[in-house]
Amino acid sequence: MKARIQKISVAVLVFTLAAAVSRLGAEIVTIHLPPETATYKDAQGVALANAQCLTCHSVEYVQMQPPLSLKVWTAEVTKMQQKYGAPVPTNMIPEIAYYLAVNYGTGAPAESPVTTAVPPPSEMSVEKMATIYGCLSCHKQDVKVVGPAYKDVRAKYLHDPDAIEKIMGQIRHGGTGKWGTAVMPPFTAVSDADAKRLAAWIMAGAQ
Amino acid sequence: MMPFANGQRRMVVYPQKKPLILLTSRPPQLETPFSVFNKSILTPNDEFFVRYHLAGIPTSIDSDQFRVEVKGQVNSPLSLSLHDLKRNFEQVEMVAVLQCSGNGRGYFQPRVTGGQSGNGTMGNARWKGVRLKDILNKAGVAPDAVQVSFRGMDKPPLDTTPNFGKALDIDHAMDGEVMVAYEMNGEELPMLNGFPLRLVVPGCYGTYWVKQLHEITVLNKDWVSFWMDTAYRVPDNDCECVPPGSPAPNTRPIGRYDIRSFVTSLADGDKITVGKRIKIRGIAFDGGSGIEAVEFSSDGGSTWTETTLGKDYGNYSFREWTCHFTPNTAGDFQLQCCAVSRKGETQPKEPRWNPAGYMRNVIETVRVSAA
Repeated sequence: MKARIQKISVAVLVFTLAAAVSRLGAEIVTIHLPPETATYKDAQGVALANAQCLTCHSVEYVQMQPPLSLKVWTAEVTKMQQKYGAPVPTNMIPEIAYYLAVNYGTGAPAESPVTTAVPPPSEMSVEKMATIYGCLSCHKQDVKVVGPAYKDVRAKYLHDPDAIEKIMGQIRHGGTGKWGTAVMPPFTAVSDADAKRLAAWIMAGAQ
Repeated sequence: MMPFANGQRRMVVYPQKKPLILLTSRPPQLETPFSVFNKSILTPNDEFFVRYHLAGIPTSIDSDQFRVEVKGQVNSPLSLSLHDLKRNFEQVEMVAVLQCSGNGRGYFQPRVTGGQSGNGTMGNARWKGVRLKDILNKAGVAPDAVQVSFRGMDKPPLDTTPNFGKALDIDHAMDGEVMVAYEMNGEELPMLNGFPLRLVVPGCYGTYWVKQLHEITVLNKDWVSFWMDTAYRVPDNDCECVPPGSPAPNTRPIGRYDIRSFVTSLADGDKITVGKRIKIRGIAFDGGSGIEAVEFSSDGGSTWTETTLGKDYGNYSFREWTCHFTPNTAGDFQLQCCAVSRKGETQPKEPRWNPAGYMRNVIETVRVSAA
């Protein structure tokens, strides 16, 4: 999609007693940012990277780093948590750092820090799936976090016959502007079937 | 493609911009292709680099409704519209370089984390606006003022992330050179460069040039902020450097630009013709004393010749330099330039290193071959 700029000029006429006319320009400048396209490499741990590392920044923040060791990636993820206030659970830091070191770094020890096998999202409860895909890093049911509250999404589409399709499209393609300036990245790893389950869950009240 | 590991880059088109090098999309960080610096001494607005810290950037602003608040330790707090700034204060203009603290971080050896730009996160523009000093005088600064803090309209996505802002010591804020600018190269600022108003801190790294500036607060103590106390700090010693790969035990906030110079008319890998005299062109700048001289070398720094300086746009501007060069033999040439400032500062032959990858100013080398 092409980047766009929009400029709205409104001429306001002001009449004074002497019938002089002056013009004041009321001017709103609006830009539309191009969509995000980079996605995390599909490998073990990607769900965690999507869930924890997309809330505040796009994938290029990781892609462009020099090849970093597991130790440095661990320090980076810890910095995100401690200095930048990212709500990354401390027990997830090793696995995120492992994913980053293997896929965007110098590699990592053969032994993975993952202790339990994670089933594919499609076999999970929809709420668990929303956690794994990272939905709940930016959305909550009742309150706006980064993105809109699910109850507000539901209210917006309540009488829209295409609600499910529109929400699926939003999940798969991302977007911005409908709910303020926050940008939602595209979640291309979410299958159509999973996106449909998530959309239906949101429209059913996300409980 | 940048000449360092993981240096693959795409060209992207953002609003009000020509194609620029994509560093990151959210928040946007865009680098100016280096060839732009050979076209003109003033960097065009639509090719000027972009650097935000936090994803919640403003994308729609009504310039009539916009206000900048002046508050804190002042006699009369102000809420100024753009119209107020243009009508009630003296308008001033200055040509000044804006350079990112991490300009050239990608070239650091050993590599460091952070935005991995080449040397294109800099630009030179004619800024028009109002002196910060005049605004502060109008508000009436309290006698015990120590610092002035600045906030823009960009916001973090999460409340737990430190809001972006910077501070200057009161003497710096009142030096008559720091300004709030609403124009850049004769036009309003592009949104991604701070429309409708940004701070201009001539000679100081870009981190201080707060965009979409809407809060100016006079303080009677040092401002406490992540962006002053933890981020954007350099080793607290004369060279602002440490041995490569080592930590910096004592640090201070980053300050003025180190002196830099570049060849702009040729790039790595360019072919030139044996026996053919060519004009070499480049730029130089420093932290505000002005450029005294630039020397040129075609043999990797073994021998140096004088160059001719171009028009002087002021001490904070890029200064053009030119010279002529004839490759007399076939083979590879390492072109270098080295600037000297009016206060005697010059560039190091070996890069100075610091853990955050700031303030690169080594003598740069452009490798070309003659045939």
